[in-house]
Amino acid sequence: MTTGESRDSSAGTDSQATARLERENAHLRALLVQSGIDARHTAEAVSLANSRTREFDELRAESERAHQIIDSMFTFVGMLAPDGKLIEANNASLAAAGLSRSDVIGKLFWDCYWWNYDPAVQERLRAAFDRAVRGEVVRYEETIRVANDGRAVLNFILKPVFDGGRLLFVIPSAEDITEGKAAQATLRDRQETISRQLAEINSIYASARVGLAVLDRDLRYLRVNDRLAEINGVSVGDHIGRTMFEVTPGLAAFATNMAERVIENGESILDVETSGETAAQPGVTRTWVAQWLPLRDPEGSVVGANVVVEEVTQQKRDFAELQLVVGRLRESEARFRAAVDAIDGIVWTANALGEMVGEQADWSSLTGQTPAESEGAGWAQALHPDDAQPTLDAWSAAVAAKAPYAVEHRLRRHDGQWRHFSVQAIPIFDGANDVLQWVGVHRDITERKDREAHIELLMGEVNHRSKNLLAVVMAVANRTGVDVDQATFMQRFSQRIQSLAIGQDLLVKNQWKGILLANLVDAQLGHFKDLIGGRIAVDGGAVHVSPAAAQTIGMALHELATNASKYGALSTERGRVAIAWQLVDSIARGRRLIMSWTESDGPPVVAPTRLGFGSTVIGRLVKSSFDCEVTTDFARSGFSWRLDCPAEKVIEANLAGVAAGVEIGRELSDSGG
Amino acid sequence: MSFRILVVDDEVLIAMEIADALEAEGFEVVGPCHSVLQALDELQIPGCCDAVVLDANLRSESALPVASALLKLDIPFVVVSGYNRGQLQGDLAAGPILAKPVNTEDLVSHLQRVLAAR
Repeated sequence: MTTGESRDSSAGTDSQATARLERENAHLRALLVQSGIDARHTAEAVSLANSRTREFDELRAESERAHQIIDSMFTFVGMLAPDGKLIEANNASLAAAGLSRSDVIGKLFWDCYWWNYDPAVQERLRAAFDRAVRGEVVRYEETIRVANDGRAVLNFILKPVFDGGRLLFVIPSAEDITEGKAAQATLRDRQETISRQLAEINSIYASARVGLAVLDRDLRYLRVNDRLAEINGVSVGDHIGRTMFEVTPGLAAFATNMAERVIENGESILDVETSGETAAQPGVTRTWVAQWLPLRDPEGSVVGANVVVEEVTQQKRDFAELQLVVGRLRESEARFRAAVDAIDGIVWTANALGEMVGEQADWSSLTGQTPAESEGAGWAQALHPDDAQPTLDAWSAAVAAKAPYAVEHRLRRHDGQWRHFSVQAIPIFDGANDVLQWVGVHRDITERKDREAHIELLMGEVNHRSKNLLAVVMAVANRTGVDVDQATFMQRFSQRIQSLAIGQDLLVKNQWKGILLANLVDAQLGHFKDLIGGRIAVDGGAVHVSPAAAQTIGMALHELATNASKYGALSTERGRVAIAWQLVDSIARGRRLIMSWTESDGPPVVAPTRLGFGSTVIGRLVKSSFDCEVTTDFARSGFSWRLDCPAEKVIEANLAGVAAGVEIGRELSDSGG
Repeated sequence: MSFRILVVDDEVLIAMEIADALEAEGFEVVGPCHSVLQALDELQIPGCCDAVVLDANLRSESALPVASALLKLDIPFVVVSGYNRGQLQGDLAAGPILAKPVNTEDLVSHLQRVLAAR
């Protein structure tokens, strides 16, 4: 058969096309499943969907061509006598069955090779022939036997030919529709499949969460889905055949530019961000990300553009918000860091259970603990043994209560030194009530502690000393008041109080440390100070006396000066006073301080008849205070006073300064005093 | 016979004051002592005194050892101090405490009370 080859080859093309379609179909489905997730994939899927639509159209055209071929293909023509015997048969019919003319000519048609393989087939033919003989054109489909016991399906026609009312003969003719039948069946199946897939694709296209559209070369909408219609605020129907300038004027310039480039270059433009307004939300600027893809015909020329549009307005806002939050966080982090640096603290973290976990750089450099050592509650090993348990108790309580934690404790620094720390920690919440972690700060308050201790000591000392001083004042008042009138009492008492005050000033100025004897002399001589270097000669080395000794010696100097100004060398213009002191080392008696007050060139001296407070001070008071010898001599040429005492009774034992005071203070506040 | 009172105060003038006041009230005064060592030395002498007026702080040294010795010897004492009661601890807080400056009448009445309670 001459047309058989072309039919075979067309069937081959069909089956290849089918296989390709099926492959693509699988691919397409996979892509469509993901289409909701990734707009890029959706774009690919849409592109495929559009190419599928084109293939469907091709297939239909192909089928029509097949029909035409079949229609023009009358392969079987013969001629029957009115009795049913075969008079003529064409070559095609003989060749198909592998027969020669002699095999069939003159034989009853239904007994021939084509029909006699099955009595039912023969019977149908006889019945049809009977009808044709009676004047009917009979058409039916029948399967006949061809060469090599093959089968062929025929569109079979029996047409009687009459001459006037007389039957001349019956013309059988047939077309072989075997291939056509098969092609039709395949075509039908494929059409169904493709229709179903198209419906699926259309449904997905319509309901996709991204906006989809196809534009022709004139940039008119060929196709648009519901989502894009929603985005544009224009119905699907009002898109078709219109340009972007008509549908979305606000976005058209940019979008048109994109579409033109895609159509011109035949290359996709992906992830294009566009902002603007559409009729859907007038006055609101929205943002979309679009994928522009070329639409090609089967020959590969670009016939339009596919566009996939995804709205990202909210994401954009979220992102801006996120950036703002991140910015604020960075700022607050920076502030936090600055605060931490400013307070000179070290920062550590603990998990929700209050355990120190992992690398704690600050803590490690402070304590010298390795991360393994500080892990869990290992950090407590760095605490002072007396402070560890109270700290752990307070920490457990804070962790249980999820409440801020504040303690003070001592811990051993990496260099082995014990330091006082103020500790604060707060829980960081994740949500309402779940602690994410704890952040703590250790601040070294050792110096503050020392200052506090020193202040506490000083306060105690001030209290003690001021009360002692009041007791001394009371004693001075009692003693001054003996046998004198009110005016004398007031004068003497106020002078003595002044002397005490001068001594106090000196002590305060020297922070209750040792006082230079020379300074003490200066201070207690009061208005006679101007005479020093003239009528008053002062001679002595640098000797620091203790605060207590300074008070006693100061009182004695005051009484000596008062006496001298009233009765002695300082009561005249010519009298002289020599004040001298020195430290003398003696093997038998150890180191001693010898101090003297010697008057000369004054009025003749008369020994007092009655001993007043002044005598008590320079005599008994000094003697008892320093456990020493005091000599007073009322020689006529001039009064003299001499003190000879163990140096350790007078001299400041420790000149190390405030630290020594603190140590003594600690001892005092520990044991009372 | 009059009671013998040992006066212990590092402030000589104050010790003198107390001694004079007690003598005026008919007590016999022992000392005064001005340091812890001096006081402990004095207490070595058996029956040195019937009671003690003790300054809590003697030349920057706590009088605690003296108080402890007195408790051991069962000699009653009155503490006088410039410090607050709260700053005194241990044996020093065992007896009555008088704040400086001391009122003589108060001192005498406290002494009489501790002597009576012996």
